[in-house]
Amino acid sequence: MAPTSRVGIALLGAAAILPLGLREFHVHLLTEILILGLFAVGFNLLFGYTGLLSFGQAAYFAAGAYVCALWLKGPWPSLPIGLVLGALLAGAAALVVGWLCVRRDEIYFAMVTLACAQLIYVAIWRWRTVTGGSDGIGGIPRPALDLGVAALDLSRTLHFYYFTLAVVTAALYVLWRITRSPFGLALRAVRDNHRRVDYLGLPMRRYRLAAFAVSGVFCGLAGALFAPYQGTITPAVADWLWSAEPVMMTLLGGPGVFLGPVLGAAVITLLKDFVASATEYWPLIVGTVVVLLVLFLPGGAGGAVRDAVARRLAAGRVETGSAASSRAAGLDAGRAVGTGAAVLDASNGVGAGAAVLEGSGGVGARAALLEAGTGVGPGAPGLEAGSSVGARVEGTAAPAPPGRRSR
Amino acid sequence: MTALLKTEGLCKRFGSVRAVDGVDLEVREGQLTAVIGPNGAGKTTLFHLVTGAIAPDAGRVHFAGRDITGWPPAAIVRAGLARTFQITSVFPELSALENVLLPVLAQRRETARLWGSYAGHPARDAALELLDRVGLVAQAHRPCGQLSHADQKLVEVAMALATRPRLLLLDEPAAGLAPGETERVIGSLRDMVAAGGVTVVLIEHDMDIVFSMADRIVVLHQGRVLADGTPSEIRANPAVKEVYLGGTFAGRP
Repeated sequence: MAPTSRVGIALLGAAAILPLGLREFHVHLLTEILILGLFAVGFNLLFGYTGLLSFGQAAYFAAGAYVCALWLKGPWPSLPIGLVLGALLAGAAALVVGWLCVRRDEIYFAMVTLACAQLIYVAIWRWRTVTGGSDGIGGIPRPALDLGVAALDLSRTLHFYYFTLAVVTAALYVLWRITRSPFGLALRAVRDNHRRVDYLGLPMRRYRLAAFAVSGVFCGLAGALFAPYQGTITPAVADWLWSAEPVMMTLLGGPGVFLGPVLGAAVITLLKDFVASATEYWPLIVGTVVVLLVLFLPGGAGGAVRDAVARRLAAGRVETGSAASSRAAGLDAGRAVGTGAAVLDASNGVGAGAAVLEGSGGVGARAALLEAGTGVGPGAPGLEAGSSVGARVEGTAAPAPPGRRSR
Repeated sequence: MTALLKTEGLCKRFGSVRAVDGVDLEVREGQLTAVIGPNGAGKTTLFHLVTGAIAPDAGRVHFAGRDITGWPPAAIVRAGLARTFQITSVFPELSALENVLLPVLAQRRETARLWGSYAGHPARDAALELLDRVGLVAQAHRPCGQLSHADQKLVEVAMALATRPRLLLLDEPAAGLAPGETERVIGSLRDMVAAGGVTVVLIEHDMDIVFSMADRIVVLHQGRVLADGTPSEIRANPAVKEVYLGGTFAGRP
């Protein structure tokens, strides 16, 4: 846990210093990365933590965006109130839609979320008097924020960036705490084996619904930030193409790492910007990069970073410890850096293998080899793929080979 | 002594097959009841009906004086009726400790809390104690999917105990285990029963286990109760002999 918070503080520090040396346009881009990063982490509460692929999170993003935009154009324009209203109403919408969606699993769940989101999209499109129909809402102001000691002039790009950084950091902190809470444990259990949860006395659907609503709140908050960020919003933010954004960002960044989706948001946003300035065929290039990354880094970019750090930690301890302690250390590192202990162990088996061979000989070495064996599963492309295939093989709860128990 | 669990005329058919066909059963508190019978006799379906996994076509289920027919599974667990599964079912990517911690938290009604860390929760001690009861403290931090089959079965028993059941239904706790492992799992179950506080109904094919552990044996055959009595009564029952020794079941251990 401690390394995770150290990583968080270091990243926050970097995010605070970074814009000082950048041109205004790039600060603008960083603001977008923060907002989309929050959108993607909100989505990932459902996908990575609860095991539900929602293909309709744009609906809650749009709900937050429109509510906040309307509030800011109203008689009492206040951004904090707009954000809270946007997030809460988006959460309420998610609660209603989720009640329908959580009855289905997997692809059917994805389809129902998609269908419901398209309904909301059409509603926004048709409700011209309120939403402006296809024209959307323009001229969304960024009212100044009086903090008592100082006033933030949010119309300035840098000020709005810091405001966004503060809101997104707070939101991510809350989401992170949720993933660590007893509720978060229940969600991970739902992801792992949803049919089992009821038989521990937990009504599974209620937990899915709660996750859906919480995810809706944070996607809505991201949308509510997006409206004043852009200054204008159109029904495109409710479209299913917009729902695909957090899916791609999360797959790219790594659903198994808390901040992975933010990394994915950064990669996609920067890639789009840089490639689009060079060629009009940018979707082709961005698409190719996404396909390659997903194929060769199935744990996502965030997963690769996490695994690399964990391997270094484990390797550092192998030198000093015996076979047994190196195995324990490897697991510790895996647990400390995230939820991926299962993913780690396959590679750990290889790493600790040498130490085991020297130390305790026969049985232990065989155990390590077997673990390596599961790692290099059917058609595994590259090492990262190998380790996650191993985890997936075990995910089916097949009886483990008898040699693998270490006592 | 009153019945803790009582079924009346329980029926379930799948297509033209009467999987469970009018089963009346009473389980008394404090006893270990074994349910035996050939494959397809309806044993697991009976467990599914009692625990709310599937709804009966007809009949009632009473537990601890309440009619629980049609209750959702989670509510039945909360009422004090827990089970394990024939095909071991754990949370493979959660650690063994987390697997047991979840039902402990659920039992304390803590799982709706979005704040506060589960890793440092006081319930952790209770979960560790349960793992200790099945001899798995050393494996507490390993992902459950990486444990041996026998250890996963024991984690499942600890998970069921964590819900603080009055009645525990165990579906073939020794299935698929090597002989040495069977002894370890059954030994743990014996200790658990000896410690008291929980009534057990057991489905098991291993007759050595059944006849050495059970206070009472219920024999199911083609969805009906063929015989119901003490181990010595069942041993002497001619109808049971017919089914087990004369019929299709002769090859079983």
